[in-house]
Amino acid sequence: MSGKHHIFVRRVGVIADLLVKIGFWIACGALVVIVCITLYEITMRYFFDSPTTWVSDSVRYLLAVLIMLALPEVTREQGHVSITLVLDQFPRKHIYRRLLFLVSAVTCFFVTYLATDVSLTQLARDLHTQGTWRIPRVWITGAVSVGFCFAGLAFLAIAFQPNKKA
Amino acid sequence: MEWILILVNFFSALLFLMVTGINVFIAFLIVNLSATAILIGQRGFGLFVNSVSDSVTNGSYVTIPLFILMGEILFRSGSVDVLFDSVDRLVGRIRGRLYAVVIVIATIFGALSGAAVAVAAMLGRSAMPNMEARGYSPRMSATVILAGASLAPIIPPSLLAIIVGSLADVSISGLLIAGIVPGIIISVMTGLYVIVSVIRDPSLVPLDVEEDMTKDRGSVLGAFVRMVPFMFIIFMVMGMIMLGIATPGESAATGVVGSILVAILYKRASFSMLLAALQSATRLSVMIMIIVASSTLFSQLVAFTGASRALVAWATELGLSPMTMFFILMALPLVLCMFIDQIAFLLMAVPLYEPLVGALGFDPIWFWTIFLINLTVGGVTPPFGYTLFALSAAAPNISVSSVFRASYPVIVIFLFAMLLLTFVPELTTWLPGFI
Repeated sequence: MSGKHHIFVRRVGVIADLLVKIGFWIACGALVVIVCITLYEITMRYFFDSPTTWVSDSVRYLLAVLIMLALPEVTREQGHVSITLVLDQFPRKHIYRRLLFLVSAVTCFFVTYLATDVSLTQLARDLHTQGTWRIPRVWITGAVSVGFCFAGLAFLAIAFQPNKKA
Repeated sequence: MEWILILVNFFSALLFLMVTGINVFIAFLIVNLSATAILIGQRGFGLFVNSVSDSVTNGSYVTIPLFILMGEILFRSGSVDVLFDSVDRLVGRIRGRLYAVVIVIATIFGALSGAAVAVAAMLGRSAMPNMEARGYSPRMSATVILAGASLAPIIPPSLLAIIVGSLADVSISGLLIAGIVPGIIISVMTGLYVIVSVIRDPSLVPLDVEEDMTKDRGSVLGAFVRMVPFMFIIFMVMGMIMLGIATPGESAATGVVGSILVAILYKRASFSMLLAALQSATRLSVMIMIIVASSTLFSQLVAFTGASRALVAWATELGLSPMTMFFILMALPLVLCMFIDQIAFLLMAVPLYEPLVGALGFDPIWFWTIFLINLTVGGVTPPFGYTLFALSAAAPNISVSSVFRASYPVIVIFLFAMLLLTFVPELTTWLPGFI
């Protein structure tokens, strides 16, 4: 790999890492907002007899944001649940482990492709979510697409840089 | 019998992939995508994407990150230390008192955290060294901690109960409340086991009661008053569900606020602690929810192949009594959860079990509560129980093999409790009847 190419790959990696971190902080923020607006709903319903129409739907959308935007960070930290009985037999840098990460990356990229395809259809047809407070469906499917895309990149990074500290 | 072939292929592929060590959610994704391509073709991929989108926007699952956040704040703030000291004071001058303290603490922690691993790690770090230093048997201490930690997924808030309720279309409030009485029964049974063991072998406890007491113990009234805020949180969660004031999701949000107030009250709150709790809760929620989202299509595919319907017809034609079927249905998780993750098994089993529960005429609250207890046993069953490893990691002075041996009485206690709940269903269904 040439020097320029190497620097380019490293810069892309740094930007991807930054985006993953930003996504994670947005996910954490989504959890805070979920707590706040749920309390607001309880207060409005029981103390002012004036239930909101937007909280339950917003909470659902925020849950999607929380899960999909934090997914890449959890992947980067190798925090996912797995049965490590066989895996523990192999050292950290072993080709078997790297192969599993590669398979995981390919799977995530395939899901990204499918979700992007569906997102574009939803965008073209101007489809909206169901509920009292409706938003374009592409926002949710788009979040799924972004989440899996960055998770795929994180798997790829682990596969090729098994020593890199999370 | 084509459906049997399809089911066997589904499950074999999933189990094989999981055993390779690949992440559980990737295993579900691969199987679901392959099955969609084979059974439905390319047009099925849209269904797959929609199943993921629907799962991540399922309002019932909002409860999961909120309950996790509540537990994280309480544990990270160190507020639980106050609870520990108070219970320590309230348990009287009896021989082997720390066993009793741990059982009571674990039962209350069960109501403050939905995860057995968290409670095992916390008690392993705080109670275990103290018990060892005072001359308590390390193995019996480990048994008591494991039994207590295993109450967490049973006593509400239980994360597993929320997932089962959503997947099996059973009242989540009902399932949460149903865990209270079984949880208390199991903690009493653990207490009885300790008493009998200590009578049979007095060397399990320190001989000198005075030596066993904490030096500055304070007043009983003071200890009780210090516990009141925790009781307030438990009320904010369970009380509000039982009184019909809030949904499980809303009660979880009030629980989060309650835990922050308790941390402030005990002067344990800080911005960095809240931030760490928030990050940890987000991570844990994603670990659970991504498996759920990746697996949702699995149940739809099982139904699409006609396997669910055929399985019900097959089970009915067998002519076995409902109770025999019940034991067969319970034997499967008991064995499989020794090897595979509880949530992964849950997601595989619920789509198959749900139609059978209806066809066999079982009370869904009763069935799924015992099913959840059954799953919990998997967490303390060697060689792969997560709770065992959490305790080993938190208490390095006790060997893994000792922790394994310590788990055997816990398994027996839980199996006895399951038998009791099976033959006296009112113990499970009585309390949810008030909702």
